[in-house]
Amino acid sequence: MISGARQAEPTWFHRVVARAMARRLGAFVVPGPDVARAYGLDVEAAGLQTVDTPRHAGVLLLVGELPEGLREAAAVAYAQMPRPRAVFAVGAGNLAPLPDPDVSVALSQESLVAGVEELRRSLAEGAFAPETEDFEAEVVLEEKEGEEGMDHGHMHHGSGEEEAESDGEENESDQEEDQEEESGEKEIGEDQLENFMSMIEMTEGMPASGDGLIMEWVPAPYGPLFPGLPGGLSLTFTLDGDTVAETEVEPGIEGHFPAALLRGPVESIAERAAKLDPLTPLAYRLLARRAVEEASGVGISDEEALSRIGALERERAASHMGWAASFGYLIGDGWLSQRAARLQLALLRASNIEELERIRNETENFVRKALRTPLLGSKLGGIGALDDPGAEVMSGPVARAAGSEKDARSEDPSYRKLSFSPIVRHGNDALTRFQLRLEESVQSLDLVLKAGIITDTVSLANNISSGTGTATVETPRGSATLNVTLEDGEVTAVELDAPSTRNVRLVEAVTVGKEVADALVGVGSLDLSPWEISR
Amino acid sequence: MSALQQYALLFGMVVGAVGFVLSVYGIARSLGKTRQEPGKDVPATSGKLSRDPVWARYHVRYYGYALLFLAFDMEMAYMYPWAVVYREVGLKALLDMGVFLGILYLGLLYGWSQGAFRRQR
Repeated sequence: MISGARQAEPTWFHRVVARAMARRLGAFVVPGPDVARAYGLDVEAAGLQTVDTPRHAGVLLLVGELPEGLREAAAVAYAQMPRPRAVFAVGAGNLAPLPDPDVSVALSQESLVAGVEELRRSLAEGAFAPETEDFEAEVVLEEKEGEEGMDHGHMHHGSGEEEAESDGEENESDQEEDQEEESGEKEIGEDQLENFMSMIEMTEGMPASGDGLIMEWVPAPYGPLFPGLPGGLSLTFTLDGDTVAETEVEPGIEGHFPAALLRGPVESIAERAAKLDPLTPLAYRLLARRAVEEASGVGISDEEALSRIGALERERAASHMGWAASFGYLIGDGWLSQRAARLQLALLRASNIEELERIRNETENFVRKALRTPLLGSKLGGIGALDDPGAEVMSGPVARAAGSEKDARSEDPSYRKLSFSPIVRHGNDALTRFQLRLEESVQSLDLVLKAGIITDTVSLANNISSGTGTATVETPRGSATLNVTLEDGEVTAVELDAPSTRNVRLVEAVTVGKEVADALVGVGSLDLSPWEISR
Repeated sequence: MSALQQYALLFGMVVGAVGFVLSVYGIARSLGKTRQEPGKDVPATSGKLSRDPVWARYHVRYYGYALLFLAFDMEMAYMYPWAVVYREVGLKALLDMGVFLGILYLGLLYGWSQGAFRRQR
């Protein structure tokens, strides 16, 4: 029996239905399809159909280790899934408050494919059971109670009399006033009944939109499992009609502490750094190693430097393709999304330089076609525009699309040997960021070919000693700076400045006052990684 | 096609439609009971349970707007058939419509006098 079996005494009819269901499995991916692809997983090729909402899913697919905040969000999604439903964990560790996974496999494509077959068997045999248990995760129960409380709070549209009746004796007049103040309610007196159809009392004291019209504002959560945004990113738009009046960004992911991950034995700092951001594990691995080497004062050979350029640039190209896939989904361009996703996976899996050269040419053709997409300019031009192109907070492609030449690679002698110069554009909007990232992905692949080495590992230099060191790496999202202090083989202090921590401050500028669809495109164009953002 | 045949066809269609609906219900029922679990009756989005209940309560005073909307929406619905026969009926149709619109405009004037179009002081 699977964890989310449907209650029924199994008959031949149930077995037929279960077998039919097991053949076509819809999976809701947590944290999101972008993270699954970054791990090199092709969910569709493994036989699962990714779906956008839990209500269309029969399988909750959990990818990689999930921080507490994402596990709780996954529990909410699981509670919404219709039975029969199953939990499929791929490389996931602790899953509480979710039930134990029905199938759990290692984090690789081969394991994923094998796991899907096992899942089909489990579903075909155990989708229906005579006795089942309710899923009663605390997060669902707590929120339900909170919702009841909010239901009461929402009664502010009722009259004072109504509230007094509903609250009984406990509802003293001062409490009523407090409630009314909190909810913005204005009690309507007899003298105002002369103009009983007037909206003035209804809207008085409420904030006005940019056009002066007063409407009731509605908070709407987007994330952490919103399919149009990076998995884990959590925004709350306060909507004034279809316009975003206020934006609140949740800083990072609950339970994920990037800097804390890096403390510990120096020998394994790179492995821990790789867990910092699943979207760009290699860039952080490299950053950690360079910071440790700086602290120890050890250098690296030219060959090692080229190897690191090859690895980092391949990851940059793959990351930009991953972003293009998610962005294509967000703007409703299926072709863009599918082609970019395919190229991202091909780049991550390429095992030799010849294969990479072929993918480079394929990427160039894709970029040429994507940039000629009809109506792309009118769709993205001016969206997500920032008024202050010289804003200090900008980093990476977002800054370079605003005319800045900021790029940590320009100061690296190894990059200079390869005649590197950053691509710079001046539009400072979603269209320019799209163009720049696509052009950069081809440039990165050219750098890999010039370096002539492809690898996905970066070795740590020997002779590590105590000291303090700072390193900067141009990650796909911008420059990340790490300061480490080493004492007796331990990393004792860490200070991390990650690009998304800076770029997330731009979210308000690209959303407030914009229609909700444009606001989402604006946020998408910033390519934020919630994993990098420190809480 | 005789009248009896037409009624037979209509009856067949009704039986077919009702039969389809009942069979869908039958299949759903035979697949097992739906459990009333705690998380299922709470609206959720993006991995978060809804902050506000979906059954938002609207102030009774919005009914004025509903009435105004209905009045002018129905006016348009009435004007379409009126426009078709206007040339045929002539002046009488114009007068009939004038009386109808006049009554509606009285409602409009009343709403205006009650501040129905004011949202700000």
